[in-house]
Amino acid sequence: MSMVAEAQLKNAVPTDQEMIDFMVREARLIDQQRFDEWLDLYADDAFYWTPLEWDQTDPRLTCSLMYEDKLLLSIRVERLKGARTFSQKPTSRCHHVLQTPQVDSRNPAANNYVTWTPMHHIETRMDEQTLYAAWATHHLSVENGRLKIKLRRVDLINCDAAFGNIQLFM
Amino acid sequence: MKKGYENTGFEQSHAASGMAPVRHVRNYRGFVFAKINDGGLDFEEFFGESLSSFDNMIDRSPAGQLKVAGGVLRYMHNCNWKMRVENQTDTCHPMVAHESSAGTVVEVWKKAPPVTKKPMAVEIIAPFMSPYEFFENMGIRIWDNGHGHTGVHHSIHSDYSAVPGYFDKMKAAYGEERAKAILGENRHNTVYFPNIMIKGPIQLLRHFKPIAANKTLVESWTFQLVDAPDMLLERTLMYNRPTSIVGHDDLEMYERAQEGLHSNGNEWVNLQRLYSPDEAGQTNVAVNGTSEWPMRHQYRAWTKFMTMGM
Repeated sequence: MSMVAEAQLKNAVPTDQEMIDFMVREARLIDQQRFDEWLDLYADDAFYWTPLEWDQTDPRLTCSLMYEDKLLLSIRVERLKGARTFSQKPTSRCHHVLQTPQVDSRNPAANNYVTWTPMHHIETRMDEQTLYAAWATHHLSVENGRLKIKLRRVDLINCDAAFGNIQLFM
Repeated sequence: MKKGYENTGFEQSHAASGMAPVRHVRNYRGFVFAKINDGGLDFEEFFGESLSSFDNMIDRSPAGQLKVAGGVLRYMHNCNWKMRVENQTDTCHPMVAHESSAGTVVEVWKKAPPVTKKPMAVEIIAPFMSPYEFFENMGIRIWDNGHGHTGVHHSIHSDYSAVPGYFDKMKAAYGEERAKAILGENRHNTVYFPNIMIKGPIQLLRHFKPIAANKTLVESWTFQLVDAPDMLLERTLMYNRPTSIVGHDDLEMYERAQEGLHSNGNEWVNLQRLYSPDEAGQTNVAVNGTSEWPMRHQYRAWTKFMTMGM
């Protein structure tokens, strides 16, 4: 397995290409199930959000498929490794197809950058394979010369459908 | 469109009266119940004392009112609907089935740097790892017609931290003694046989809809306590997330059990735990919290209703 180490940003302000590379790397880390490295892409106060409703604005008082801080994300990652995690015996696998990420806004003064990435996420376990189509919106900032995710919002095209288990990260 | 129906005898047909009206409707404190069949039990007879769980859930609002809030979650299970219903009062599975989720929460939280406040999610998930004694002593109550609830004395919802400002509002609305009595109820799951479950302390209703012998749709409704702090709804919604790792554990078990039932090696599912020969016909009794009496009781109700018209 190739390691594809993360590169430091060349300058204080990231280029569009650096943000695009960052998105592509994130998808690769998930697909290769390098979840500890993946978690390291997130700022300590980050949230991962999968809304339940179309155009949802409130993650707190409206139900979401997922709205987790870094503590909960790390619990999820630990659980995937667990010897008694029966829903991962056998394990799930996933595959991302990304469109080229687009940089929607860049605000170096506020250290806030937003990207938009349409994608297909395929999750499979035993004989079942499910295709999820979604748009990922990332809110990024620079910390110690590295890009960090502050918020990752994944809007599924069928967010209000009745799903079974979605066990990996989109 | 009347043209084309003249002299066809349409007026005498079954279709002439249009959609069949539902004749037996009852609005119980905002929850509307309908019975399509003219026969069978009436509302009071069917629900009896079990309505006290609806009362407690609604009384938790200082205004005595609930509002549907937070969106309706739907999720699909490739298993028979009875597995979902039986699971609601099965207190022997959490420490095994949820070891992967609740156990990991407990472990990760142990290693977390000391902070002032335990996160809401940890407070919600960790109690699933409580020992068997906890669930035994929690108790189960049995009512008529397959209804019943877990959490007679305490439950996994007992030790949630206080929500600032809430008790004062309850005290102002009901007086201190009554407010304490309402909030002192910690019923865990109340099952309304055949296919509804409510959680009073976290204002949630789950509706189990059979789609096929091996497919069940679950609809999960959440409620806001009118005139209570928003933090209560936030907690309800956190509990209710479908992608919750606790839910992953359960669904895996249902689907494995469903597959197991395809085998003819042993066609039976045993529900004999803490069986007592004198239990049939008893009602409003509180029993050991790990008894399978509620499930036996549900099958007694099933037999009663299925044979009612015979």
